[in-house]
Amino acid sequence: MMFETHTILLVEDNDDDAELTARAFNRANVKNPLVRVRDGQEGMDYLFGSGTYANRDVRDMPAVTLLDINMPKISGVDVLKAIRADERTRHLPVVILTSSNEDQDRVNAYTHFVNSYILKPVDYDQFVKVAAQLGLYWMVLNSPPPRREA
Amino acid sequence: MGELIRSMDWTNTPLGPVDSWPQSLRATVSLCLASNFPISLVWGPQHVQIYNDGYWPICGEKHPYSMGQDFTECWASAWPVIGEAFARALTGETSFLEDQRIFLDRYGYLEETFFTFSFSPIRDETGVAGLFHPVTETTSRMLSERRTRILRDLSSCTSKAQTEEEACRLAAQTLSAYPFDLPFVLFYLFDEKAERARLIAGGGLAHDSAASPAFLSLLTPDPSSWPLSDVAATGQARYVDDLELRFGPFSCGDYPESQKAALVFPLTPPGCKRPRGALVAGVSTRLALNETYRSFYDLLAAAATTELANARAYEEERRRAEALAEIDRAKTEFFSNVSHEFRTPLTLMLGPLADELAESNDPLPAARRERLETAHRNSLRLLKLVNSLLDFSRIEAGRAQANYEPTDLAAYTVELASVFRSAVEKAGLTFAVNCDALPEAVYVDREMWEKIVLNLLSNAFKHTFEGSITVTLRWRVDHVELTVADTGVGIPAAELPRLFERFHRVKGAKSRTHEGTGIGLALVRELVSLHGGQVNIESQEEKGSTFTVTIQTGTNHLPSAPKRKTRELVSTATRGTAYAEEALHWLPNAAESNELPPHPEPVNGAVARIGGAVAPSGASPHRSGRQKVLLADDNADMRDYVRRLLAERYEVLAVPDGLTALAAAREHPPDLVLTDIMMPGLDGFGLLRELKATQSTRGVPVILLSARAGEESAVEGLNAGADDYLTKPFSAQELMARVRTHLDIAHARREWTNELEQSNKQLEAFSYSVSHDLRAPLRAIDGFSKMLLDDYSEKLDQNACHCLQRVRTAAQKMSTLINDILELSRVTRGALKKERIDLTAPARDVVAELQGKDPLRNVAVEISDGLTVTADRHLMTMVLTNLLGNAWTYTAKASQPQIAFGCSNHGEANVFYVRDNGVGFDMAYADKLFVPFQRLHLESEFEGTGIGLAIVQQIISRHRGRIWAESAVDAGATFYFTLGEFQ
Repeated sequence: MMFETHTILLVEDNDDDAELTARAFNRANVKNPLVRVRDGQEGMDYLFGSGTYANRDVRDMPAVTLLDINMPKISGVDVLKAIRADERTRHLPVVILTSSNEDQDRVNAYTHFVNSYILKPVDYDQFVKVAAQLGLYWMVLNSPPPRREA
Repeated sequence: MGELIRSMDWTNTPLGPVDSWPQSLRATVSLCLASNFPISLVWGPQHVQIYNDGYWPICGEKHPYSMGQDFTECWASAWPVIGEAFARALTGETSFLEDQRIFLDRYGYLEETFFTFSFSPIRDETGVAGLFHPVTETTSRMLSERRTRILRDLSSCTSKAQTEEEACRLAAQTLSAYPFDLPFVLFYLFDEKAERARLIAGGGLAHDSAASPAFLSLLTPDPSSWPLSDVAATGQARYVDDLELRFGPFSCGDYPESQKAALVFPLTPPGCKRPRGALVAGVSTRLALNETYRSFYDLLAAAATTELANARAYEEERRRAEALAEIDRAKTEFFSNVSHEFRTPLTLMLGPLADELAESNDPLPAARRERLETAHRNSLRLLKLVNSLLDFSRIEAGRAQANYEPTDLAAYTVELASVFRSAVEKAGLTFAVNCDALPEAVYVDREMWEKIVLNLLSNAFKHTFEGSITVTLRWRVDHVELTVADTGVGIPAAELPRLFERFHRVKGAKSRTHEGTGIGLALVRELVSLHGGQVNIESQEEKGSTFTVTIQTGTNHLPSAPKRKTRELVSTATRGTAYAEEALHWLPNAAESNELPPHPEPVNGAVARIGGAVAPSGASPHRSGRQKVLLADDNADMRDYVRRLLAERYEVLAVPDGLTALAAAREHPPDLVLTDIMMPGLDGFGLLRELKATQSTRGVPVILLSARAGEESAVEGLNAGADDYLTKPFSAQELMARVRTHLDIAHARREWTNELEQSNKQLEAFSYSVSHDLRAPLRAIDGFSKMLLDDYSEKLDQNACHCLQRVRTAAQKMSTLINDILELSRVTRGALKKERIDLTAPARDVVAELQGKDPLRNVAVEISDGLTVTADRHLMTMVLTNLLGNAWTYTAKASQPQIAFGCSNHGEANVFYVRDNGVGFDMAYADKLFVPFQRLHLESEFEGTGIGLAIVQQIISRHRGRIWAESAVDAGATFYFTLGEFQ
């Protein structure tokens, strides 16, 4: 069975930011299903089929995972590390979407093989443009890794 | 001449036959002929010339043709000088001219001559019929005066010369001011082997032209150049008259004629067998090389030779003085090195000996102890001698600096003398010390005074077998007088004058010992004279001697240097004990005596102290675990000794050389490094440098150990970044104390650094959270306002929309502000990545970007090329972004906006500038420009956060540069910056 992965996973603790991101995608005509989880732990549960997502079919991986960096308990970079360390998610496209432009954050993200590092503009008009390009690139242009059947 | 005139056929001349001459002409001619004075007449409109016997030598070879010739034609070559006077005379005005330089062609060439003459009109009824022209030739007088001046100038200018070359240069410079006699001069000097001549200086010719080759071989004659080889070989002068043949035509000075002849003179200073050089002097093309001219050249060559000889003598004298100074330096160096060589083994002898003698748990049997005491005493004695020698070498090198301190000299002298009491009394002598309190303090260097007193006492004790030794100190108002009188053997009168000479010893004098170097009294004299005082002796054989030292009171005699100086780091004072112990030993029963003289003060002498046991202080180390000390010394004994001392409290790693030490320190940074200075391979200074240059070992305190007891070494060490400096021999306590102190300091410093790092980390964390947490709510404010505006615009009235728009603007503005603040905090931390960059390219990029954002603006931007600097590329781009951005912003209202970025050089520094013709600002507020959030314009007028220039200033100051601005309202602004020492 062919199964096109086209979900966007958004790991974001801030409700405002989450809603703004959802609306921005919407406004930018990125109509893919958006799954939002509230922190790093929930994100990993989703990806690895544990906790509240114990029954999820983990072969169905998101086309791209958008990670905030600064989150309580488990940071975005920690989630990234976990993703890269697990055989099942090693090749998953991960984009850091953050307010931080600190060198240290960027270095950390790339050290753990993030696919892209994108700065969230404060200006909403700009943010909508960013969301549009993000959607176009990861949903349309980019070919995801092959689906695992294990 | 009358005959000539009469015999001439005047028919065809404008004057016509003599018979037809007017009476006035006849009368004048006869007047002229009757005179012995050279006179010429010029008659008629054709200026016919008639002259007497006295005049014709002036005509030279022109005579007799010149008789009856047109005067203006005959003397055409002189016309520039005489023309005007001639013309005036024709109008009836008499002219008189004195010593005029005239170039006459009377012998087939233009000749430089001098004349004094007049032109007087001769009138007849028609007016001026002719001219009366008496003449005196002053050529020989003028030339002689000029040549005398040349010779005088030559000797006065070159007397300043200090080298042969300088003499040549000065001479050439002087002589080139006289091109009429010396169209050109060349000074050549020969090398030592007389193989090659080198052109040192010249005048009138370019350096190294065909006729002035820079070098000439003296081995092979060169027919196409100067005959220097000939002159060098024969020592004879040569006349060369075929210059065109040798060099081709060339001219000098004002004369267009090609040079024809020159003289080449050898320069042979007295005492030299062969010439040292040669003087080539051109012969004027407009002067005959007659006897006087030739003798002038001879005098010139002689004068030049004398100057050369003087300079040579001076040079040799200086070389001799330098050689002497060099020997003196070598001697001082030798003394210094000797002290090093002696002190190291001495330390190693004294330390263990003192330890052994102080051992109380397991005391030695008396006999063995005695042997050790002998060794110890002699080691002390040796140290004293080494120190005395070192004192001498310091005094001789002018490096002994007295540290004058106001001293209660009576009390101090009593204290010093008391050291000897035990020994003197033991010898059965009376010891009297009469030092009544003095009315005021006396300025002395205490160490030096100690040496003066102890040496005199030691000397008295040595030579006195019965009677007494008396020390007296008296106040004499303007000076104090110390006398040390003994009733000893006295000194033969014949020996007195040489008594204070170094190494001089009175032969056959009866004394307690034959030990002695003969430098004690010499040292006393040197030390006393450093104090501006005197030492005298009165002595009578078999009666005794009295030494009298006088030192001035007050401070007037002291050098103007500060009266109190910090003490020299390195002391050669051995303190009284060494003297007294030595003296005791001269007594016959010394062997039985274990008694040491009482200490005059708490013992802190470098050596005496070593006797004290190393106090294993109970204080525990600062941190858990023992602190690590790295010890580098190439002397195995020294290494073991120091290691033993330190091992009680510290973990010691001892290595034999600098490189091993460096490797060890880099691998495991120790808490402290103790290093010898002189080591093979990497020496102590090198090790110190490397440690300070390495990040991980930079903070490790370093103590240098050296046997060179010289204050320069200490200063050099401390300058190089050493934390302390210990001179061998050092006492165990001193070493332990310094090590402990520096470990404590380093510990405190580490804690402080940690605190700083901590607060720096907190600051970073703060800006990190600002970066993260402030932006999210802003985005929400902006985003939701936008949604309201987009989705509910029909339901909102215009006012509400306007309010929401302002909310959005404020949020975006806040966001810019956050970015700028973060930028500001970022530029103040992080390392500068300095590289060579050209500011032109980033400046053009910045302008292109500004233009891109604002495509409608038409700004004339001028950016200079090649603005290369050494700086951090990223930060400098930020500077340009801000400065050019400001210029761009503030020229918005200008009708023809202009921006220029360039560099001007002011002295040593490159000053970069960004200039615009915008609104400018009032210089009264210039000091607010670089303060964060300070703006000089309303935000509604020009946008901006007011942080840009603060960022620029931070960056510039991190580059150790300076930024400032000049402006006036509505007259544009110019921002200047420099980039400090990197350029």
